[in-house]
Amino acid sequence: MDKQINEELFIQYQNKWVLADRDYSKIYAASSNLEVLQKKAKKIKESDAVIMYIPAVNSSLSPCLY
Amino acid sequence: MPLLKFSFEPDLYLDPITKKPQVNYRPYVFISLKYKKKVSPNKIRALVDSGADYNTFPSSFAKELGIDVTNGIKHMTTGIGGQVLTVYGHRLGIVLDNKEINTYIFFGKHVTIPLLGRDGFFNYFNKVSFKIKEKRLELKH
Repeated sequence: MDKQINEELFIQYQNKWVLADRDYSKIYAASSNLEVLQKKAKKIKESDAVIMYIPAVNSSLSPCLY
Repeated sequence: MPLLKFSFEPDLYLDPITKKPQVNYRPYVFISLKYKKKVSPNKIRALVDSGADYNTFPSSFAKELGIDVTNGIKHMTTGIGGQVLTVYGHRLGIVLDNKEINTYIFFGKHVTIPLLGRDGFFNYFNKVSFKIKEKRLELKH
């Protein structure tokens, strides 16, 4: 079964780094700056949460180094 | 030979016609970085990118592990738009599914999405398969 994502939540965080849970239902912290997010993540201490970049939703992805 | 299977992970995109959000499944994996005794505190979503020559990550992931980024092997890399970025290579571990790959990662200040490339990730496996219809990535040792 395909993994699901909380669309209403995640669409608000495009072009940002987020600390989220693995099933894409919750965002604990976000920032457009990765270093800032890492500092927030240290305080939150959700060791099972993951760090991910949310790409812009109005464009396709050709990541090789924006 | 062990076979590692990973479901593609969801991202959102706006359908250009309906303007409604849709889900796009991409070959991301969740990894940790390991440098000496230090391990990244949270797993990182990285894109398995057959178009990338090397593993390329944002510098902040290196700094978090105490790596002096600009002390690494200096290298220039060209993005799909032709932009050239300076990155610095460091030897460290990529932990995936409890297996550690001792490899090189190039870190750059302007890199956004962490990329796992052919030389440094793909070449540690005998076979890398993108099962597009099944939305699944398979890595065979």
